[in-house]
Amino acid sequence: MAQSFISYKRLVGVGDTLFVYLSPTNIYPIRVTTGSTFQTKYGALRHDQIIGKPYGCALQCAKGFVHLLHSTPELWTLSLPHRTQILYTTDISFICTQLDLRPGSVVCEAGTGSGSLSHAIARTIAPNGRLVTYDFHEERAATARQEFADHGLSDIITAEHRDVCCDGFAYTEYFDALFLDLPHPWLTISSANRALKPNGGRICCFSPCVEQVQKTCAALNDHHFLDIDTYECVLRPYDLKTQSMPSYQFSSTKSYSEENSEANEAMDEKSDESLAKKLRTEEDSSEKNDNSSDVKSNEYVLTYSPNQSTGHTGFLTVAVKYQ
Amino acid sequence: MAEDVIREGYYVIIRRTHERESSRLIKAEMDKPVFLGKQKIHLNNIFGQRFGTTFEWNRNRDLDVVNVQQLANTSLDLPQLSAPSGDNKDKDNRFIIDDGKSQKLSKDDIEVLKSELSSSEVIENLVKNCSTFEQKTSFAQQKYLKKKQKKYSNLVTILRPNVRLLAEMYFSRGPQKIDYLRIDSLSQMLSLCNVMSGRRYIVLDTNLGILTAAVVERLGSSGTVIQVYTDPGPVSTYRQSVDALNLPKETIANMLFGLQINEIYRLSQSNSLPEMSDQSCGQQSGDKSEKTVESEKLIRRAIRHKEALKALEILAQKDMDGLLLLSKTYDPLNIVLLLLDFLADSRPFAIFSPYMEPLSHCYSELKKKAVFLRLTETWLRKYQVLSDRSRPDMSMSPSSGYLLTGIKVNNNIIQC
Repeated sequence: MAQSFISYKRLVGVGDTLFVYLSPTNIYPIRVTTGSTFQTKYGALRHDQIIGKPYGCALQCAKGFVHLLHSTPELWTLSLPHRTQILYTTDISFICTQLDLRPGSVVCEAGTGSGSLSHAIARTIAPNGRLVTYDFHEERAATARQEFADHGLSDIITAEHRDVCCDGFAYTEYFDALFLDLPHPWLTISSANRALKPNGGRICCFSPCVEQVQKTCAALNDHHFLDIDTYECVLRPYDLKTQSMPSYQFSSTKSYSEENSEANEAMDEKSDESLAKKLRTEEDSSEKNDNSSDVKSNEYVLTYSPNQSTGHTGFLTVAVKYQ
Repeated sequence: MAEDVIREGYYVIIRRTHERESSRLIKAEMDKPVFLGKQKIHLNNIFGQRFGTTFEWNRNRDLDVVNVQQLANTSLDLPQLSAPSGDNKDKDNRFIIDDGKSQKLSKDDIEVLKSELSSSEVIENLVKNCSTFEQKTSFAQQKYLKKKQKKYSNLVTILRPNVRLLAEMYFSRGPQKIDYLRIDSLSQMLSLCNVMSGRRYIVLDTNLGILTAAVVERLGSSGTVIQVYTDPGPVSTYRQSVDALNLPKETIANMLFGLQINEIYRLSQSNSLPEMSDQSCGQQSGDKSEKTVESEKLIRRAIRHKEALKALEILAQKDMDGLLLLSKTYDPLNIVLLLLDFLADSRPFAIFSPYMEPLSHCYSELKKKAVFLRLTETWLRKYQVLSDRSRPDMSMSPSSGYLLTGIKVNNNIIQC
């Protein structure tokens, strides 16, 4: 049984879930099945051809090459089929630390959603931990259950259809950690309190809106949870490029130096190379001016923020129970 | 659970219950008092109690167990999240003069009270003798009470050390000692490197070993961590965080192996396991009084030697599952390139630096060996959540440091 997400293999096998990598924004999960074909923009990839190939290899296709990457919960999070809005690795990693998750932890999650967090939790608590995950949407619960089975995670994850707001958590003093990503988490704090182990059980609630956070914190306080903290964690990614920046050629003889006019025409991102080329050819034939030196260019590795990135996902409230 | 009980010799985190920033890591021993700030405390009564228990120190400096839930219901009126805010519309501080004279009790009076009364009684007296208390809004009154509670409370809580508590404690008390590795960056390294039980990781860490401890904690009882150091010998505190986890010695001995980076370099230059320079033969000291210190040194050296041999044996397979690296004094580039060789293909790595430039410098070189390279930082803010008073905290840690992560691949293109 392929257990792609909680162990590592060297070679691709039937039933594995792996990731075909073309670029950071083109990563595709496939489940290796004899007879299947996966279409990429570089050409078709027949599963039979990749069985037995080593993970991490670069595979030639008709019009380019792709990498075959071993599955990890993080790659799954980036490319899984969304049935709901999902949690991303920034929040997921923070949650796992705040809940003190480790191998053997017994964890509860509501709602399951698209199973993004569930995969990461399973990886962190494997091999002997247990995750019980609830969703009030019957079809989503069933889809998640099938996915966990396909990924060899059924021993660790129990996915159930249940509305915890109405019906509670079905366990008493059982969980080391409990995670809530629900529209009205404050309605479940009472039963969450009963479901958590009494000495050190930890709870974490994820809510996008401040009103939800206020009601949740009030409920946690009313039920004598301690160390109630609310955080926000946002990823700030950077892009990089190598760029040559010429030094401006000052001139006291001309009001607008000819050396700079061509540089200005070419001054846009797309023509860095043509500018650099122009400057190199001009070095030999440039007029002497007061600063009389060769055109100086500094090459920088520039890091800059991309035009768009996430501003907010949700607030994370954590607390502990000591009774 | 047995490990839930505080035993002699365990590392514990002790903190004043109402002042979480006061957390300290200590090794709890019988008849060995500790100081929390200026307060001397005897720890003898904590053994046999469960981690998470709150204690009250009495006049003899001994600790008595208290029920923290009972305290929550006292008249001390801890900030209520659902406080009535009606009177706050009519009250404000326009007539309150901040001349330091509103408290009628003198410092000496307060000291006398402290020696005779419980802390909640002391606070009640302070409130009674505060001329401006009634003029304050209920929010200001609660803030006042909370401040007094923080100052005069004689409660301590004993917690079981784990990576989260250690990372938060080290970062708030002395972030330079852990190279400014904030807890959100640490968490991301663990997730992005897919740290899980049973697998093998290389770690290049800080003086306090917090990253090593984090990986060890996520391995449970099975897996391998090769803790690489660049100093000639490991610094004395390099296992402090690991020791603080109170894990059984055999578990650690089976999982954790330290190694000087030059040994790895030698391994990379040759095809066979090198002859290790035998460091276990020290010079015998003539002076008898130095013999036990010297023999302890020799024992430690012998253990390190054994660990290093085991680490080299594991590394030689070139099949490690992840690389987690803190960039400290040295430019990370040639270190990463050396260690990346020992990683299997399609395995993640993460390099942390408090500075961006060394990482952007690595980026273009690593493009030849890895895919999915990403340079990121995280923004983390804490919030005060109280009814009608919810807002972000006034102070904030501005920088998480920077992370360069990627997945090692084999770029020799093969045909289908």
